[in-house]
Amino acid sequence: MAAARLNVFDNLQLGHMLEEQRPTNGSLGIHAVVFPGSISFNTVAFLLSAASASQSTARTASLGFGLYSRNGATLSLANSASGSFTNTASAVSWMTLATSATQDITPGNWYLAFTFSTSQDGRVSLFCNSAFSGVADAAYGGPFFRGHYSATTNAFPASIATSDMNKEGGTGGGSFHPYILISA
Amino acid sequence: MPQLDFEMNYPTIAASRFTPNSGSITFCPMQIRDSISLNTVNLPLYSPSGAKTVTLRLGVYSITGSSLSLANSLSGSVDLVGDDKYLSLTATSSAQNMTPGTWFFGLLFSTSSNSNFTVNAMSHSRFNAENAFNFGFIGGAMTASTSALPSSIATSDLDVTGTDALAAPVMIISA
Repeated sequence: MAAARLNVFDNLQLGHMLEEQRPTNGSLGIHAVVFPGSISFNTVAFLLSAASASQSTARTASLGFGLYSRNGATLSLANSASGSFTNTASAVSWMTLATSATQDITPGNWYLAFTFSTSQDGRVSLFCNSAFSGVADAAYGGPFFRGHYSATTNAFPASIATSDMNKEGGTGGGSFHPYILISA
Repeated sequence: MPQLDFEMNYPTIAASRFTPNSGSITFCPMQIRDSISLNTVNLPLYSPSGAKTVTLRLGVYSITGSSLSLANSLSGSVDLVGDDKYLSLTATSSAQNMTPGTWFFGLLFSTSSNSNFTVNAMSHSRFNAENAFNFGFIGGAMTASTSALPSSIATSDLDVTGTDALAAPVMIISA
């Protein structure tokens, strides 16, 4: 069956069981997805939440997106986007990032990566998957499909050995990943 | 689309849990979007307290008309003591390259002691329709106890109402 062309792709259903999470500064999270069709990679968007506060200090956050493919035990960076968010009001906002290079994403497995950092008292959050507490006491078996990079970074390495990724469920694995929307 | 390295019915940990029937089978659907070599299946489990060993026999069923037929099976166990862990199943009964389409997974759980554990799922405790969905089989549960995966079973022999019948446990298939 020939795969269709997509206009938009999102990893989670918008509005479906999303909740605000504050990822650890300098953490790089990666999770696997299946693109059911091809899509021209143009814009990537996240949903941010700036918490209310009786202050006039601007709330800022830096956000990065990376698109990885996997070949055996190596993740390779195929594309990326980054930007900063600044807001002085309590609000939920879209943050859109432009890709670093044009790309036609082919159907199949890809790995979505994100980095996040904020300097103000944690008052900026990302809408992520919702979970009671995540899986924290034993990692999954088989090859890598979801987890967090073992090193602190705000940049996307050109390649990552999957052995350098903490699998979800194991120490440093983490279970929360942001809602991500890609549009052609 | 090329051969997949993994397939999953939900892209992350989900926000709900369901309590499986111990000693009987819940059948749930999963769309396989392209071919994948069946090697490992992972499910997130949770136990609030009490030490126990949870064993899962997972049947992979195809459907023709109103009959489910066993195509493959995996089994595995995990020790839980008030924690969240992945249950990883390997050692398929036979090598299989799963073809695209709708497959059904039959989950047969057993425990060494109490059955106080849950499976991470997309279900909701209130998702308990009073009437049956009569436009095709979308999942169901056996009402009788069993200790083995049936080689075939008629969907008409399954209870198709209730949270156990419509449960959607999070599953990740890896090649």
